[in-house]
Amino acid sequence: MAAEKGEKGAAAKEVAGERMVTLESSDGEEFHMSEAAAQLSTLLRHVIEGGGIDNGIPLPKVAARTLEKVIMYCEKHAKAAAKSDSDPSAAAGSSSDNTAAASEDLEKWDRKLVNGLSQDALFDLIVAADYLVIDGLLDATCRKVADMMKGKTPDEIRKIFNILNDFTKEEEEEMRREYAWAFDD
Amino acid sequence: MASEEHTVVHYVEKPDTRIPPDFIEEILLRLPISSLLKLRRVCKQWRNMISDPHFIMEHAYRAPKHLLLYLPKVDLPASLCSKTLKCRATIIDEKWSPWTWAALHMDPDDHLFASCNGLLCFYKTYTLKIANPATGQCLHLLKPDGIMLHDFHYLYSFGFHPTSREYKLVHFLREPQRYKSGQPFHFNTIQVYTLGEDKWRDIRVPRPCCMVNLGVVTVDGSMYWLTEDEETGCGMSVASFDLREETFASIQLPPFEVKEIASCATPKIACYITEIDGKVCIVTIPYQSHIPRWRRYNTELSGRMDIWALESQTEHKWFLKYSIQSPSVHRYVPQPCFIHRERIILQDRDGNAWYHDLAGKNVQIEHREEVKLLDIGAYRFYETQSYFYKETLIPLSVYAGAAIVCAPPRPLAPPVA
Repeated sequence: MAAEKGEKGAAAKEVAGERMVTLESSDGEEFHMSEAAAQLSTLLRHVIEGGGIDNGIPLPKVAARTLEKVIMYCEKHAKAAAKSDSDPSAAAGSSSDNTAAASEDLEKWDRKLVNGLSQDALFDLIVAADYLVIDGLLDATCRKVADMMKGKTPDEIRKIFNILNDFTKEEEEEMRREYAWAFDD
Repeated sequence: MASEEHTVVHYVEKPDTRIPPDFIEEILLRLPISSLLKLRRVCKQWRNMISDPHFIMEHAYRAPKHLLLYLPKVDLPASLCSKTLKCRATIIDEKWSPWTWAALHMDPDDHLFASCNGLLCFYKTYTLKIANPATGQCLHLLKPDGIMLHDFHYLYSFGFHPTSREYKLVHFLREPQRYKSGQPFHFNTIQVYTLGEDKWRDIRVPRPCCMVNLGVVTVDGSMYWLTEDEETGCGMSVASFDLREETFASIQLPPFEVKEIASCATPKIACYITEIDGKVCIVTIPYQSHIPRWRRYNTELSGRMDIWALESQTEHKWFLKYSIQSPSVHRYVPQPCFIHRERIILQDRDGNAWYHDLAGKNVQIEHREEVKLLDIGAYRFYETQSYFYKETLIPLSVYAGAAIVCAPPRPLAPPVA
């Protein structure tokens, strides 16, 4: 189940037959993550392949509360990938009902994860997902912020995201005229 | 706390409620056009970002691809009720829901002939029109000099080259002396107009072409059509025109099995051209001898329909993508793009349109597995056209200064979701 790629010089710990890696958050907390889950991060994958991670991988850019969510995401997705790999029906055809339902469940789980975050926690997770190069998590978090913007007026957007309106009244009027039908607020 | 807009507002410094600046673009790229047009008003940074050509191109690239069904106008005979049905466009979205574009103002003489990067091209009696329904921008262009009579929407096409980032209109200049009603469309010259330039240019085709079945698709910056070719066994080949280099190439048809020796005079396979999943495809159907090869009406499924995809433009290799067995009932496919997201669009003679899953390479169309999509009523099923469409912010105003532009743009309202 765990990838073989980490063998080069890495003496990763083993927990219940699964290779684990240790991560250290910016505020000094230690976290453990299965190597299979760590593979979802391109950054961590390269660090593990490079070896020398006996004492853990320091992540000075990721705080503990954010790292916790990152690990939750990676473990969930690694487990789902392993399950579909061992599922014989998935190998047979491209879109069996099982794989479609499983991916829908995973999407629901992702949405629940991002919905439960405060605004600043969500932004921290975006930054972390980008830094650790976890494409799926970056996509899920950015889509959540995009969803927060849908259907809101520019004024509401400014309030939510603390943005200063730097247009003059004349400039605003001109834009309103240009796309009159788009402004239904 | 915050007061009205336009006065200088000092917000309490809340920790981290501001979007990390490096990610504003990533977030905006995930929003639909309707939201982006509003969000331009939030602040100057956002307005500049949304208007940036790089952003617009990236957003267009990521935009979901929809199917657009176009029904040309119909003049119902006096015996029926003597009225005209206006041309109609219907979008089939990702959830396979059809929504009719009530807000897309098409004039009665508008005939859709191409869709590319969110730009729709219409043939009109005296001019051509390019419109972006999402932004409401519109461009009216003069046709090439002297083209008035015996000109048709299917003699025009439109495409984009991803490297040169230019849009070009192509007109297949039909040989006038060979014009006779019911005859194929021979041409020695094509006329090309690059958006932003002042006039059309004539380009000689290296070998005379005869357009077969009148389908033209543009994929990866090259335009493709089928032409008669006496030098091949089956009498046809694929012609391609590179929109950047403006050079022609000839591609042999895929190695489909021909039960009897074919020739130009007695063909055994009817071929059509289409695009599926970003690849040029050739569709072969057993030939029905009473139908001329240059017909412009839609294909009826019969026997086994094979669909070959061009794997590589440079190596000219084809692979068999689908082998579809026709059902026992009459079914037709709209042109040119009738396969989308692994489903095939089918029509019957009574105005119904269906979709059917294409689960693997070999498919048997079964009526019980068809899902009803819409009813086109009194419109002629055999004239239904189908294109891929996506909502984009691609601007047309940048091309409006050219000498060839002939009427002021008229704002159009956006599609109602």
